[in-house]
Amino acid sequence: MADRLRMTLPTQFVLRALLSDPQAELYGVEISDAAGLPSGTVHPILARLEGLRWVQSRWEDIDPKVAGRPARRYYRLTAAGAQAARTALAEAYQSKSKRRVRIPRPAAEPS
Amino acid sequence: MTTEGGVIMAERKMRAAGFWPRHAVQAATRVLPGSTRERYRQEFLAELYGLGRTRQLRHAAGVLSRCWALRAAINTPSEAAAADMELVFPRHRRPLLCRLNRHRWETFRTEDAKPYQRCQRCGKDETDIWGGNKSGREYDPNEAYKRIIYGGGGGPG
Repeated sequence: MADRLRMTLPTQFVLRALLSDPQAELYGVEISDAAGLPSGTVHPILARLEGLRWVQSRWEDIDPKVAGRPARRYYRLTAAGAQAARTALAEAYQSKSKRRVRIPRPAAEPS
Repeated sequence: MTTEGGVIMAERKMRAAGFWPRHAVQAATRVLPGSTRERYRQEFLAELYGLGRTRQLRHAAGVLSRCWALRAAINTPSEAAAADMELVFPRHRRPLLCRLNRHRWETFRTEDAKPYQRCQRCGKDETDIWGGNKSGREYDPNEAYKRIIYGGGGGPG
């Protein structure tokens, strides 16, 4: 069975936020800020992307007693994920452009 | 001394996870599958630290309202074979304000550092079918004509 990823606008925003620096590791609040999405929206998207191996996550390597806060969960794009995300965003943009104009293409171009 | 104490108190007040946000995110994780519940509980709690009181409440409310979506996302069977993945592009119903042309413009930059504007809500970019845009680029009637007749899109860059 093929996996299905719904390229909704929030998904595209999250991918854009992660692609702005593919090497950077961001945690949930940073991603939602960068994507301009409300809190809570990004976690289901990240869970789907993680399931598809586009994104990988890890716990922050800190001592909670020293840092004074619990360790955060950081997300970053995998190499394959970054490539796939770029392709998917380009495809999403093309499909949006096709939808935008409804006037049919004429047979011959005017001179 | 008083100021330093005040600053320390303010930092502590800002950093600690409040009672209601803490309980809200814990309630949100109760609907999640047992294997991932503890992970998300710790993740959500960690994210509350460092946020202001209001932001904590907003964050917790957001997490709580989307907990069923998160559960669905976790429960979706995912094959490792990403090569077989199929992308689905749903037709978006634009938010009401965007349909009324009341966009929330924000400035982004292309890969070659050129600024452009895009609506934060619906994703519409600044270039409209008339060839003009919000960045003050000059109106080009030829470009507008081509866009209408041939559907020339042009990327955000």
